[in-house]
Amino acid sequence: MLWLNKHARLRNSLSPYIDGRLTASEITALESHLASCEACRRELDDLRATVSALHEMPQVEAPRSFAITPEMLEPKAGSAARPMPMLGTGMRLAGAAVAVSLAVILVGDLTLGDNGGASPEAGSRPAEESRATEMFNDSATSRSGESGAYAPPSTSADSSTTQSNAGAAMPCPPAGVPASTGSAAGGAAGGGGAGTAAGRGSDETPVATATTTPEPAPTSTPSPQSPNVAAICGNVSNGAVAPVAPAVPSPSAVNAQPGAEGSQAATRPAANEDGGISTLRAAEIVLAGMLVAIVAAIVLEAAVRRRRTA
Amino acid sequence: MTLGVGADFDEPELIARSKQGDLTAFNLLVEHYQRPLYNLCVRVLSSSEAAEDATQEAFIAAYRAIGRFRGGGSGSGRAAGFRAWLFRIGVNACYDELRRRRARPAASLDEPHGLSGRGLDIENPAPAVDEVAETAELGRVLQEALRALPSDQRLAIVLSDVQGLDYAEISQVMGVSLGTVKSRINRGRSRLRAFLLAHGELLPSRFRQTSGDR
Repeated sequence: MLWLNKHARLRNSLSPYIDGRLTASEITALESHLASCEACRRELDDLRATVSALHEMPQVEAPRSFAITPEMLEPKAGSAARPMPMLGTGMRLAGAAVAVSLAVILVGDLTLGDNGGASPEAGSRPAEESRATEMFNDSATSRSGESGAYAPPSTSADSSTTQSNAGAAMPCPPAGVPASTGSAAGGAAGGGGAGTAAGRGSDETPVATATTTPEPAPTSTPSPQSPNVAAICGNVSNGAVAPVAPAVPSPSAVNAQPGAEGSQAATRPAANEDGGISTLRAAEIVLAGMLVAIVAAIVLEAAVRRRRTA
Repeated sequence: MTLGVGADFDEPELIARSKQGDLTAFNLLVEHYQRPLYNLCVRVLSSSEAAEDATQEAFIAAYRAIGRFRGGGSGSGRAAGFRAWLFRIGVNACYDELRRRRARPAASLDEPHGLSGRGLDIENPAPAVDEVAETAELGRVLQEALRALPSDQRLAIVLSDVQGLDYAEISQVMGVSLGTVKSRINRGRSRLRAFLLAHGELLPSRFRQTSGDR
């Protein structure tokens, strides 16, 4: 056992022995072991042959001159300077994506939050919220229209089905009221696009709402209400389309107008509960897109930097 | 290990002038060391093309960094430190080259500055092996054996037994202690020996006589 330990230890000194890295006492110990150990002698021979073979490995000539030219020193400086703008771009991109995502979340949250407890404070909210969402004209507009429309019915807490029920029960006030207020405040019933008219109207809605909400229905709604009309009324309030005529004469006329504006309403987000949910969806989608963009930017950046530094 | 030191080759003087930004002086150092450095890179990378890139990058990096090189500037005995310093930069350039080529395989992005914008066929080291060892069967087998080693052992063996550096220089190049150098060389040689014994039929007769009779 002792001998084996000694053998293993001395075996490891064969290589330093070849290189002359052993002390005098180590050399003495090894050489006395070699005299009695055939395996170590063989191994020493093998190692010596290996080393001498390595020494004889052919050296190749340099394939070309590696002398440095001034040009070689320049592009390196260029590529060293380059990653920084790339990094800046990546970071800027990521920052912008985060900012936009936050904005989208904020808007989506506000819209949804209003749906939750709409009716009581509806009159006081729009002012501050239109400030908060002024960059998003569409949703701000439809929101203020909504606050005007929903003050009286106070059904808003629930889902879209209860809302359409309310629309059927109360003959179309939501459509009539915002339509009249919108056109009155904006004064653009026949003018430009509905979006711009409503956008201008949005600033003034709180005032207009205060005056018009107390007496909702009678003037603007026609007497005969079919379920069909009720559904259409829902549509109109959905879009909060301003330039609807104040007094709707007949169901057929109502049919005709919202038919045209229904498509607009469909593209416009966040008018009521329905719209709030779709805004949330949109926000989620946009957020997901932004996150993907951030990740892509970071990955791209890392790849570029790695390539540059290599 | 022949460095071909000419009569007019004054290394400390050239280093001192290089530190002043004298590119001509530095290129005399390049001319002097390009062969051993290129060979080192070929051994480490097993690719003549990658070795060419790494060698060039190493000299450029050395020129940029020579102001920080200590030793070799004043005394005569310090000049040996320059080879270890340069080889260390060369080894780092090799590892960078390996990383770079692993990071972007065949379908790589373009290299706008053309510093190394050539093909990327590191996967096929055959030309290098042939180029290095076509004159000797032993060289070919040894190259195979070296490639089978772990990279730190291979580097230690190449520096020690192919390039002829002493343990102190190797410890400088690899940035490890003398004891670590000793053990890497020791283990590397043992593995080489095992490989050569296992492939004894490939070896020239001279080697077979010393090791194959068991």
